[in-house]
Amino acid sequence: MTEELLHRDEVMAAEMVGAARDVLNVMFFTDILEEADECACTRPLPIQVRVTFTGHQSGEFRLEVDELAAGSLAGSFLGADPVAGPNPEEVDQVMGELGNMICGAFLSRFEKEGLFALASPQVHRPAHGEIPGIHRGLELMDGFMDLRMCWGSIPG
Amino acid sequence: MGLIVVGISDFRCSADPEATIVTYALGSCIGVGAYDPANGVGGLLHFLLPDSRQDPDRAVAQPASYADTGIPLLLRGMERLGADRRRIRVRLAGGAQILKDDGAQLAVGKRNYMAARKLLWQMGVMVEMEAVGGTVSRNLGLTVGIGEFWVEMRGGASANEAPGGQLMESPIRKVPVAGAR
Amino acid sequence: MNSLRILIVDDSPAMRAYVRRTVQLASLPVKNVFEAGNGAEALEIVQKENRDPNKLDLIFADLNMPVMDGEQFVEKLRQDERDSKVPVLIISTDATQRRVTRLRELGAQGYISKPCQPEMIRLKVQQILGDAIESL
Repeated sequence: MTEELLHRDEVMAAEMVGAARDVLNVMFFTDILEEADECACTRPLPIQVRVTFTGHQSGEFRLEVDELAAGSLAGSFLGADPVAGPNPEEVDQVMGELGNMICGAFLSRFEKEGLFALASPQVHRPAHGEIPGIHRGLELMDGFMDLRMCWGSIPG
Repeated sequence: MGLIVVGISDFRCSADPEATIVTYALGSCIGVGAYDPANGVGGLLHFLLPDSRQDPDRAVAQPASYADTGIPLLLRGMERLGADRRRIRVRLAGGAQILKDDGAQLAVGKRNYMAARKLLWQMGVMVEMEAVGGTVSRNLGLTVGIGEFWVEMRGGASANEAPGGQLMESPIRKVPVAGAR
Repeated sequence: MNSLRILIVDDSPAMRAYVRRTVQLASLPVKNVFEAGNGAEALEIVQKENRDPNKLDLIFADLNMPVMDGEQFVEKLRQDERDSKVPVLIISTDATQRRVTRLRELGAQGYISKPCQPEMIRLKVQQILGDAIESL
């Protein structure tokens, strides 16, 4: 990979994390403590959200998250009772919305004049399959999250 | 009656129309001002840190030190004076980044702010106005009789970089916030 | 006093819950909250509810939805003269300028880009329904 492409990927990854931070701060009341090229969590993250997008550029965004973070994020978003917490169906619904918002906020950052369309998010348990493209592992206040963005058709 | 001063890690509520409740020197701390316009009950909390799990002993001794123990105390104190949770309107001030060189301290103001918003959303109370972020120290006051809030700023930069703040203070020294009475 | 009738159109149940909670906490005089998962379902509700003497007062709509998206929904709503006056407030992650301009041309009254705080939703509702709320 040329230096120019590497630099472009770094810039895009920073924008992806910036979009995630905005969404997490404003609607989930949490923040990113650490970010790295690889996820700091040693176990596979069990919940996967896939959002495909079409438009000026097409591709797929993936978010993976652990159970603890997912439960905490969903409870915050819904204003759920902290003792009872959200039910598993609500957790999946909120994770789908989180994936949708981060993907949309990210695309809006550099598609100022373009139009894009997002498909409904698909939630998979357990997470399976990897996609190429840019990648960041995040440590949140309550767990771990992984973000990936791939442009073009997804292999396999 | 008269001036009620709320210290750090403390809260006060009043239904006295002659009272003014005030808290000083909000840096990374958050001042939570609350008011029920229907019956003139006001309250003010000055909390220091976001999460009581950091020090359970202190949380028992000084529950108003933390967002998650202090905000419920404030709302319950107002309800005891006749306020209705569904009518309570809240103003936030503080959450600044005062100590620039301390990496850990940098995040405290922002974490306090998010903890306050999270608790209030969970408890079903909406934030009407906020003056947060930046590098300024603030005072927050409430004139109970007319339900008027005000914010004073001291030093530092204005709060244009307020985290997530859609409703921000204008960069003047004293900011009256219209009462809802 | 509670008389506003509101429709929330979003394929995400989580986002419908978020908007519903915001509307409840904002102390707006809301009587009914209807929900739809896409534009086609929303049109059915609009046509049914607008036969009622108390028509719908406001519609919150997402853009990216299956079956019929938000843009097609606004276009069809405005084509039907009887239903054309219900104000539509778009809440979407797509904040591109072309999209906002296009929706305004189609007849949407307001646009909020996510992420958004609940106060922003309340503020836009008050701007759009200001006179209606005052006269209640």
